[in-house]
Parts: sequence; structure tokens; C-alpha cells
Amino acid sequence: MRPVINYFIILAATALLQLVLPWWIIAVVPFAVCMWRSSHPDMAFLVSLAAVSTVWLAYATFMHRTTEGSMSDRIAELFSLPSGMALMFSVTLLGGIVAGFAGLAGYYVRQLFVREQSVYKF
Amino acid sequence: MKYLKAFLSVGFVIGLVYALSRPWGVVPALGPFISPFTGFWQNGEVPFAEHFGDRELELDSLRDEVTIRFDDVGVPHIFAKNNYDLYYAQGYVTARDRLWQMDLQTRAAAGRLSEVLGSRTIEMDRKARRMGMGYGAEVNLESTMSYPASREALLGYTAGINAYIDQLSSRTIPIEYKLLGYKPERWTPIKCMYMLEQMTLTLAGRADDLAMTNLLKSLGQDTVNDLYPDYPKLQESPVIPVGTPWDFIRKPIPASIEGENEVLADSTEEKLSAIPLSEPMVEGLGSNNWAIAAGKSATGYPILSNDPHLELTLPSSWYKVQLHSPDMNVYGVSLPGIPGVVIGFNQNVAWGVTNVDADVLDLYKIQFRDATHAEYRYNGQWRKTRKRMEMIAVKGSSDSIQEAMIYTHHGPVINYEGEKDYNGPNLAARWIGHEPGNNFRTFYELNKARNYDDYRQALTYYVGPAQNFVFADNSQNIAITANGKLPLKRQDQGKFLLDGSRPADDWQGWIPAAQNPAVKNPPRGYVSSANQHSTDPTYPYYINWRFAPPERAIRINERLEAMTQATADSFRVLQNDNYSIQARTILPTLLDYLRTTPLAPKQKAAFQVLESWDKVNSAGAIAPSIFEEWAGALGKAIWDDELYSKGQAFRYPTRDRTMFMIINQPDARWFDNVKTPAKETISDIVVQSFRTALDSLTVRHGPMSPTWEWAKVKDTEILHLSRALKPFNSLPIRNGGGSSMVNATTHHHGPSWRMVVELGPEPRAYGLYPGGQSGNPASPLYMSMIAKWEKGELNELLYLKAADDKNDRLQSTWTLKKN
Repeated sequence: MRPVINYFIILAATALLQLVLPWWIIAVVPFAVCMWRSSHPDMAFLVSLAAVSTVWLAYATFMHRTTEGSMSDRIAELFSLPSGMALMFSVTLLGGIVAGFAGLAGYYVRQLFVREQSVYKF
Repeated sequence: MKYLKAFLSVGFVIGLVYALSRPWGVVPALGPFISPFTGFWQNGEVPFAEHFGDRELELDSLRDEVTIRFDDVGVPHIFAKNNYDLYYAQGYVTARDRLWQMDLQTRAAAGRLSEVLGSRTIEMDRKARRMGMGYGAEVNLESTMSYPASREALLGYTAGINAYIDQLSSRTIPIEYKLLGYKPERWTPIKCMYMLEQMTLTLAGRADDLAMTNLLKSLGQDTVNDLYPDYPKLQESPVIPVGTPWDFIRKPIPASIEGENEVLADSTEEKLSAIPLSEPMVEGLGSNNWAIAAGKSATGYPILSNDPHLELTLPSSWYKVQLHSPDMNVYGVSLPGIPGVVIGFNQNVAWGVTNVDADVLDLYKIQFRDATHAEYRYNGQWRKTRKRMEMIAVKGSSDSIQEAMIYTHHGPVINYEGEKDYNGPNLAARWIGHEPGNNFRTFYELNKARNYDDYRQALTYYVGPAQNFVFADNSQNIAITANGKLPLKRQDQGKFLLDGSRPADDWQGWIPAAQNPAVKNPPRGYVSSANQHSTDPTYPYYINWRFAPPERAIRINERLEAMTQATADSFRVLQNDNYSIQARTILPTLLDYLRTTPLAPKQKAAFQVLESWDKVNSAGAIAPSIFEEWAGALGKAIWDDELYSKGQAFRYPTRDRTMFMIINQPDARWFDNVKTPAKETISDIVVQSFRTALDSLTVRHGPMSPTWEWAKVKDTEILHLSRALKPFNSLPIRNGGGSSMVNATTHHHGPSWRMVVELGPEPRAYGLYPGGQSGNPASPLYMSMIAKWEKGELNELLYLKAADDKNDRLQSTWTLKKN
């Protein structure tokens, strides 16, 4: 259950904060969330990747569709990609990877504190 | 271990984010660029939503309410209650559509490209600084701001642009800023002056002086006079009709100096190289304009036409606008970055411009006293120079480049003896771009002109680049004036390098403005210009020794001569005329030489194509491809062996002089190729160059087939201003024309705006340019007019009388309210 909740927290926080803050908030949010409440490195990575990818894919799809690819298709050509759709998936993946590694880093930083806590408990 | 993991993973993420937050070479910072929240996604346009929707805007520093109505091609029709608001609104909508273009062009003019593009543009920037663009802009700003109406216009226009810039965010800035990784800066009035300087540089910023001095050195004065005459030998049809009387009291003309040019030719031992980064004058940077009197028109009123030829770019050079205030109601095209309308019409008059090509850039050889450049030789004494510090900031470098520019009384020193890539003396430039004036006022007065007298008065404020101002009004007047400040010189002064130490080589004042070549209502019933000679040799003053080749002018004048009952459509057809006067003049003579020579089958086939050609450079014809290639190869075959040597400043004799020789001097010694032991005749050269032309066409386009069609060989394309972003270019253009045709469309140049105005109680006007109103490549209005332009069609221009006019073409209304 925890990963699912993390997914939604990251999703909601990045979607809202990106409206006002620079793009690198997609690294800060997963890092903070995973430092706070992640329990497994693989899940930290995957959940962060999935959450940010969802946000980027959804918004990019919306922009691409409503503008009929008028800019995205041209930028795709500039980056030698076959179409605006291909660009959309590449972009989403890149944003997701940044978030994934940030989530992973959050998990490892959490471990620094979690162990100390356990030692104290026993 | 766990510390290492935490440390490494955090370090890796920080590194990744950093790497994606900075540009790598030409690749922009990817993070912000690809984010759907801030990146390029935000620059997509919902078709027609951006331009077509009613809006109410509250803006700072407006004085009153402004109404802007947009028509179906995105043209703003601005209705303001005072001129400040009028230009404010013009600035606002122009910035909305063309901000990056205005930014780039003023940066290029100011030598500030490196600030945003990095070290690759340093040399371009240095050249702009040395040319004294900043000095010219400053002196012009001072004179423009000192006249109340132009001051108000500059301030209003600036405030409007800034009102637009201020509401932009990193999300909404134009795509080019995102790609190049910089942000718009606030507009200032001097940027308008930089735009004018840039136009002056484009149209009057080239000099043949070094090339002609080299030729003088190798050929001698007599041969140069023969090969580079001051007036066409074969044919010409000057702007001011031959026989127009010069009924004014002439100013004394400076006397010639005995042996004036030899002195310089001898004193510089080695041949001069061209000035680094200087582009040769391209044929295609010219224009056509004309007007017919009521007697020739079907409407009973004059009709006027103008098509300025410039480099064709996206966004376009021009921006259509209608400006309405208590003072004026004018429609036409503006240059983004300059308030007002440059070419257009109002209720009572219409006007247009073509370049005069006066010699208003002269180079002076400067002798410095020592390496400090503090003093230079003048009139037998040492005179002090002035220093002007210029600072070029470079993106990605913490140190900016500081350089002292040296100014003589002639003007700035643009090249120094012994510097890299340049072989020649110290050169100072005397240039019209440094002359203070108020060009804006000319356009402002024309925008609200009511009659011929207003037109003549408006022209007196104009400095340069000199233009042929064509004019027509509702009182049945037509007129044309080669107008601008024209220096008073002796014959051929500035055809060659001048001696900066000799007072007699200074410009000796100006041709009185009222004596500039002009004609009003000539008996022939029409006026026209196509950058050809302003006058025949009877005009008492020297303007230049060479102008654009005469073919376009000859064709236009022949057609206008024959015209009766003309309409706007007759003019549209003439604007798109592809008939080759050059082919008519020279092709029969050339074909005669082929006829007497045995030809291989492929050559025979090409010969037959030329023989049956109607001499029209139409898109699908093959003959023009052969003829144009052949004419070029022939010119090179005749002249290169004697005149050309690599790395030196050089220019060919004019096309007219070459054709004159082919037709009238078949035994001229220039036909022999001196690089071969054999003695070639004109016939040998004509036949050889024909083979060369066919060979090079075959190499480039395969054997003769539809791939040789003129449109494909000419290959007109309209590039985005960056010249690097291919997806922002136009698709290949398929049309006819050529550099010597009225429809002067070439690879990258051509009619950048076509306009026809039928005067009358209600003006009816037509026009378009090969681009669109919007500068956003994602906008449906980015290149919406190209297809019609390509086909030679025109749009009717919607001329409104009042803000609440009803018309089906009106799409939306903006109301600008003061905040």
C-alpha cells in the first residue's frame, strides 16, 4: 500500500509545484518523499519514475493534442525523431529517470537514519 | 557502505540535474526545454485561438482606450485616440508577433550577438562595432528625440513593446529564446535606431573601392574606364526619363584632380584583399516600383505598385498594420522594430520605395603617426583621432572584450594594416549611416500625407539609405524622387580608394535636397524605378558609377508604355513577369555561334531547347536553367583569366558591358584565354562555356530531364532567421523569375512584399509577403501567405474607416485599457 500512496503523493506534489517552480522540482519531490517514507530501493526508484512520467506524459499529451503538434512535431524533427509522439515518450522517459534516481537517492539517505533508529530501539 | 551509497546517489542526482540545466554546445538546457510545464510544448498554438479571440487588456502607461481589430490574415487594425497610444499598440502587437526577430536584428546591428550566442559571433560583432553602428544609432537617436512627434512615437512604441515583454514568463517566451537559452531584455528607443542602421547597412553598406583600386593597379586608368564605364554602353532606361530638364541652379561641382587615382594605386604595393566578412552586393537586393497616371488606368485614378526585394526570411522582414488616429489612417507594411508604416497608402496618397544605390560608403586610406593611432595625416599635418570604447560581452566567458575604436573626421577605422585576414592599408569609412537625421519623420509625414506637397516636404527629412520614393495621389499626381542625403562629389570620387590625408578627397557637402533627381507627372504617363541609374549622364552631379543592371527597368518601362486601361490586376501580372530581357539581348548572338559549330547530341538537344524558348523564366521550363548557367560560365570564361586572382578584392565588369562586347566588339582581346598557349576567339569561348554550363548542370542535376526545370535549379527557399533550425524553414518554393526579371526571385532573395494600390475616392489595395504575420513557427499564421505569393496572387487589403466597421474578414477585437 505504501508505494501506491507514495506514487500519488509524488504525482500530486510534482503536478502542482511545477506550475510555479522550475523543472528540477521533479527531482526534489521524489527525493523528499522517499526519504520520508520509502521502504525498498527498487520501489523508491520505480514509484518515483512512474509518478513523474505520468504527470509529464499526461500534460505533454494534452499540449501535443490541443496544439495539433504544431510545435512538438517541429522540435521532434530538430532532434531527428520521427514524430511528436516519439518525442513525447523520450521526454517522459527522461523526466522519469531523473525522478527515479532522485527517489533512489532519497531512499539511501533515509537508510542513514533508519538504521540508527533501529539500533536505538533494540 | 551506506554512507557511500547515500553520498554517491545524491551526488549522481545533483550531477544529472545540473547536466540537464545547462546548455551543451548548440543543445539547449534540456530540463527546462523538454518539461511540458515550461518547455517547447508551451509554444504550440491552438489553431487560430491565439489570434482570433476577443480580449480586454489592462496596460500600464496607456493614455486612453485603444481598439485593435484583427482580420483573417492576422493584420492588426489599430484605432487610437492619440499617437502615443497608436504607437504603443503597434509596439505591443508587433512584439507579440515578432519579439525574437526584433531582438536578433537589433543585437546584430549593435554588435551584441555574442552576448547571447557565445564566442562564434565575436568577429561579426567586432565588425558591427568597427562600422560605427552604435555611433550612428546614437547620433540618430538624438536628432529623432529632439522632434516632438517622433519622440512621442519612439516612447510610445517602446512602452508598448515593454508592456508585452513584462507579462512574459519563462513559460511563454518565444521558442527561439528557449532554444538559444536566453531571455528577452527590455526595449529602448535606441533599438529602433539600430533597426534603421541595419537597413542602411543592408542597402548602402557595401563598397567596391578596394576592388576597383586593384583593377586600376593591374589594368591602368584607360582600361578601367573602358571596362567599368560610368553609364551602361548597350542599354539603359533611367529612373528619371531621358529629356527631363534639370531646371535648378547648380551648385559648383568639386574639380577633378590630375592623376588623382594613380597616386593611390601606386602607393599601395600589393593587391588589396577584400574586407573580411564583407558580403558582395547580391543581385536580388533591389526592388521595383511604379505608378501610372489616370490616363493609362481603367479607374480614372493613378495606380501604384511596389515590391521590395530583400533576403526572404521567416519571420518576414515586413509586418502588415493599419494605424488610425485623429492624425492619420494609414495601411501598409512596417519593419518590426520601427514605429509607423514604411510602404503603404492612406485615403489620399500611396507611396513605395526602392533602393537608389547611391555611393554613400567611401573608404579612405589612413596614415597614422605611430602605433598608438592617436594621430593621422591630414592636409600636411597630424590630426588627433578620437577613441570610442566598445565592450563585447561573450556568453560563457567572464571577461568581455574591450576595444578602442578609432575615429577620424571621415569616420571610424574599419580595418588596420597588417591585421589577420586583411591585406591593405588602414581604412576609414565615410558612411551615410553616421549622418544624424530623422528618417522616422519622413515616414510619419508620409503616413498622414494628403497631397504632392506633403510628399515633397516629407522627403526633405530623409537621410539614407537613399530610396526612389514613388508617389501617387487622388489629385491625379504621380511622381518619383531619388531621395536621401547625397554627398556632393567630383565625378568618380569614391569609385576607387580615397586618400584620407587629402582635403580634396573629403565629401564636399551635399546635393541640395530639392535638386535630387525627381520627376512629377511626366508626359509619358508613368514613373518607375528598379534600382537602375537614377538619371542619364546629363544630370549635373555624381551619384554612383554603377547601379543595378537595367533589364528589370527596361521590361517594366516597356510594359507600362504599352499599358492602357490598366487595373490592379495588370500590375499584379507585371510584378510576376518572368520575361528575360537579358536573353532577348544576348541569346540570338550566342546561338549564332553554336549554329556554326558541330555539336554532340546532348549539346544539340540543349541548343534546340534554347532555340525554341520564349525567353520566359517560368518554373517548369528547362531553357532558363541552361541560359542562366551559360551566361554565368561565359562571364567567367571571358574575364577570370585576365582580371581575377584569388583572395583579392575584385568585381566583374557589369553585365551590360560584357553583353556590349559580345555584340559589338567580337574581336576584343579579352576573349582570348591568356592562360592557354592557343589564341581563343569569341566563338571558342562561347562554345566552351556552353559545354561547361551543360557539364556543371549534369553534375548537379543529372542528364537533361525535368530535374533541370528552372524552379528546381533556382531552388528558392525561405529560411528561418536562425539559418540553423530546419523545421522552421518553408517547404521548397516552386515559382519562376530570376535576378534580372521583374519577378526577382532567386535562391534566397526576392519580392519581400508586393503591393498594388488603386487610388480613388476609396482606395483599393492588394498585397502580401512570403510569410505570415506571426513569428511563431507553430502558428497557423507563420507562413500563411506563402502559397499565394508562390502563385503570384495578391490578397485584398482590408482598409477600415472606423473601429466599428463591419466586415466578414474581421475576426476578433482587442480592447486596450489604461491600468
